[in-house]
Amino acid sequence: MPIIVNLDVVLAKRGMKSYELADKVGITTANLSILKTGKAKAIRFSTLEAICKALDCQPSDILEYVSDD
Amino acid sequence: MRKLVILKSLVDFIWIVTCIPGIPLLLFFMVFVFINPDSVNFVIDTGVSKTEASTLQVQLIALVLVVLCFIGIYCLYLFRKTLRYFQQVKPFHEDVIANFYKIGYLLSGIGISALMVFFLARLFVDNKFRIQLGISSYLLIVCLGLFFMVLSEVFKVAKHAKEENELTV
Repeated sequence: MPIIVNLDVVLAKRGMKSYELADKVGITTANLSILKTGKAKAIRFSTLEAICKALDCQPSDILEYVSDD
Repeated sequence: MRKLVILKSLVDFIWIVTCIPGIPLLLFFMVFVFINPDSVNFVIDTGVSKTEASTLQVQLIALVLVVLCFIGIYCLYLFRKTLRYFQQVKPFHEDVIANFYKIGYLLSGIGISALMVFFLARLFVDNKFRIQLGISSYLLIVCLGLFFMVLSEVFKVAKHAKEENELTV
């Protein structure tokens, strides 16, 4: 999939653990893991908003488009 | 879910009462037809007339019909297997989709083959070219087969939608 999730990079920059973010956002660590590993097929705007709020960042910091070719 | 239990019980009943004794009976019938066909007078009833059939005709028609019966029994076996997946609350399992497609494919084949056999039997036994339009049981079997194939496609789409929903964070 050409959309890359850089959540682990942002988490490392903020020095935050996955379970802390999951707790703040209100999703399970399993779902956060799906998002981090790029297995997710879609992300709700509400989840993206909560992640951006918790990490104090922009959606572009988390999501990146990389062409397949 | 009570409907599923009733359906499974009915299918199991049909399987136990009809199919399990049917398999050895059909095999016995086949052996009888091929080894000692002269001991019984076989009559081909085409719906128009009753004709005493020759040995070769009987053997040919019996062979085709027994093969179709075995395919029908296999379809019921696949349906039972599919219902078991439903009971285990796995309606979108790969096997369910594959079984529905297989059942549809086989039922359509049975319907078309039976239609051909009876059409050819009428043609060669009665020397009559007769096409019966309207609702016949063979056409209904073909429709049922196509319905199962459509059902398989629907389940495939539903499985995809379910996976997508599960992977939405």
